[in-house]
Amino acid sequence: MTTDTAGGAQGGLSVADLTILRPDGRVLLRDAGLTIGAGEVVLLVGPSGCGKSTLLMLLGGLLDSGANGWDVRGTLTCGGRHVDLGTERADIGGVVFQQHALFDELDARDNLRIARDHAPTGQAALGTEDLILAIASLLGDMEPHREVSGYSGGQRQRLAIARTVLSDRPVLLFDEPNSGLDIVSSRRLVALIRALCRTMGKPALIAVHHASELLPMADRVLVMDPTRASLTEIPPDAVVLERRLTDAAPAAEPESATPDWDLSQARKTRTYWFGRYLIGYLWQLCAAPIMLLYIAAGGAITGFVTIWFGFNYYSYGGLLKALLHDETLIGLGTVQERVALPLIVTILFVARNSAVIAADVGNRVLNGRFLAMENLRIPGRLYIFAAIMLSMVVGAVVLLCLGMLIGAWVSQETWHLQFPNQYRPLFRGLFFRNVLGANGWPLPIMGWVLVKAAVSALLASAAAIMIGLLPKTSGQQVSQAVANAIVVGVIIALLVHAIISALTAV
Amino acid sequence: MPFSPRRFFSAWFRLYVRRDRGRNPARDWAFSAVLLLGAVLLGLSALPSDLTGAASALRLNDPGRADSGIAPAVFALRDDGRAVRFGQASLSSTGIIRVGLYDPNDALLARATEAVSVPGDARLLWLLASPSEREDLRGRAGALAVSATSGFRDILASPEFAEHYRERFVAVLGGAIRETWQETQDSGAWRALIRGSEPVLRDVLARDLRPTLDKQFRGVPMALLRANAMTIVDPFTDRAWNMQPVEDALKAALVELRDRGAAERIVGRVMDAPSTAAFLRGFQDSLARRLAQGSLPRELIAEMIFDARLRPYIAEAIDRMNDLGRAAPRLLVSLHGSKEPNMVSSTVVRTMVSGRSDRVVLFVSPAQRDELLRLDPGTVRVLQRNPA
Repeated sequence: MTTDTAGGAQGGLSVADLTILRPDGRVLLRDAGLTIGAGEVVLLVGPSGCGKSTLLMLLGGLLDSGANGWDVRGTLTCGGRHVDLGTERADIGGVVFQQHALFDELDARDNLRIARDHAPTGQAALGTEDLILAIASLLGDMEPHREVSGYSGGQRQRLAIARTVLSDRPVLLFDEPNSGLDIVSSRRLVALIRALCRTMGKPALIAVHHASELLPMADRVLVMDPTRASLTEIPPDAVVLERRLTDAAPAAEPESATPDWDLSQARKTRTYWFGRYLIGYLWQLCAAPIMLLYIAAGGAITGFVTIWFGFNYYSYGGLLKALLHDETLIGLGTVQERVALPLIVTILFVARNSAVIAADVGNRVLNGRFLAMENLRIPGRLYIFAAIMLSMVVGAVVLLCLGMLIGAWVSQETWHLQFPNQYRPLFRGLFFRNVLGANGWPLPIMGWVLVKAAVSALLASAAAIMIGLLPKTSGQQVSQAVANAIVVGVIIALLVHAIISALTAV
Repeated sequence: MPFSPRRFFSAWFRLYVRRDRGRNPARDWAFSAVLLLGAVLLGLSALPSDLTGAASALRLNDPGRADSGIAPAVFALRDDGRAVRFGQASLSSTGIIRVGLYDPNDALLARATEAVSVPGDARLLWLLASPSEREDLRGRAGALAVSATSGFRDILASPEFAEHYRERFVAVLGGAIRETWQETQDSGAWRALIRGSEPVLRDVLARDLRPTLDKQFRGVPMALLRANAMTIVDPFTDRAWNMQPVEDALKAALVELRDRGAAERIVGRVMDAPSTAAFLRGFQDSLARRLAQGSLPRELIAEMIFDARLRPYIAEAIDRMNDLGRAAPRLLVSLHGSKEPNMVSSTVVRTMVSGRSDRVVLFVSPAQRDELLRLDPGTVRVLQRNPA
């Protein structure tokens, strides 16, 4: 156990008297301490489950002490800032997550820009030539406008590192950065991390499970011992052979900076980034062609079924079909446009989008992307939840109108199929008798139809978000959340329609 | 180039399923915008417009507009006599009928140049039926009337009628005759008859006429029933009651007065006098009106119809009635034997159910107009174009 308060004062990190108790009462660390100097790279090793990631979460300000049963005590000093870990969050570290937690909805460049734009202003490191070159060395082989899902694991790892670097936190924290990489790639990665730390003068703590190939690249090594609940430093020069192997490998030449990354342009506002998410969700939940076709198909099928079976299933066939034609058409139009289509379209809309929302939020929870956003000081929940709910309300109203228009047109053509010698304006005059006024505008009572759709969408989206936010540890839980969100969303839509219909007779 | 589903889905697949170069937001949004625009245009094409307020709307005058409204439905008759909904009508406060046509350029307008109005009730269906359909209905209705009349007469002669209904009918009809007599006696016709008679006959009339009439009128109720069997049981014809039995009874009463001592010359003059004729006519008309308006005879007849004891006498009439009941809706609603629904029937049902007496505007050819006027000149009204 070492303590170096000077390291913390000079841009390094110093933690003293650190005690962490798990929610079940087991001790993770007791009176431990660690010091990392500026530009120093320290490996944190230890057996699985010993708490390496927990320590990183604590230093990244992502461990809720107290609320979830974690008991943390100790003090932290970093860049002249002193933190009582028992009462404050120590959000001094930028975390590079094991699963990268890249934002799939943004391309590679915007993954960097959103982190940069939410970084504290007035920082010294950003914009420097050295930093640009350092990032270029990380990302030189990558296309800025490509979707992040199209990159390899190593590329995604480097992109995640670059994003964390741009967030400009005092300390860089890496959670299993060599997971899934071969030895050579791992060493290259750590060499890049080391170069970045040197360039920015920031300390780095790298939690690794398999550290042997990385020992030569580290300045120091800390072992987290769960049996003694302690942090112990060991010399990093114990593996000379490993260093030789590293030296024999061809060094990766940093490629020239790619101007397309364009990270030097002006910062975007929060409104801009909210707009980006809003447009993304508007597209995904409302405007995508498949969504338009889906709703149009629902409206068309409802329109066809209503008219076809409404006229064809009289007990006495053609006799009553003619006798009751006008009243039947007025009644079918009223039922279709006021009740049936709004209900069908809302259920289709809510069911599909509840699944999308629950899957989206659930995956963000599962992959730690909300944590990443929080760590990057991005108000992700505000951006995403507000964008989702706004998109749902707007989309429900717009797509309901779309479904009703398509339904009316298909109804008209279906009617004309049955009455081929009659003129279409006859249909229009009767079908919309209780829907549109004499001036051609919807009757005031039709406003309740929109209210039904909007309220259903709002409540269903809130429910889907809440279901998606529940803790998840596997993809199966995300799938279960999707199924639950569909059921809950549809029930909400049915209830809202029933209640408003009962209250307003619409 | 005609729409091809195969080409559409092929393009769709190329654009959005097999994405060779990843997402292209501008292309995606443009495609959605096109889809949305197409859907909106389709939907808007199915929305209604104000036809009667359009500049192309026709203006018509109805010379008898004061007694009825105008149904919104407008029809045109094709060459084959089938009616098609052709537009919307509205009646302005100035009495002008504005007719918005569904298709002002329809070729049918070149032939159907005349506009008429017809009450939107069963008469409209009757007028628009083909001659053969009308003849068919007439035949069935006639057969029913004959069967019903024959059956009714058999009932009147039956022991069941004599036992259960005869006295009730006599009481009802006798009461009507007495009330009519009282009403007529209070009227100017009776006073004119008395004043116009010679003093000697005046005494006879005042003293002996009433008992004589009572005697002569005992058989009148049954004679009236027999004479008016057709009128009572025929629901399709609003014919007047046959008052011949009443007239015969009155004349017999006068003859009896003569036999009681009045000079034959005097009685003869009384019988030939205009005041006597006026009195007889007034009495008959008043009785006929009373019988036609009174509900009791019809209630008795209805009771007879549902009386199982009398049913064998009217079994044939019931069969005829069922036959007519089956045929009439089919003939009138399925216009001209076509499988195409007769849209006129819907308008008729709506007008009748609403209790209104709106008239329906029909566009017809000159020949069809003349035929309608020939069939029912009191119902069909010719509308005049009003260019103002």
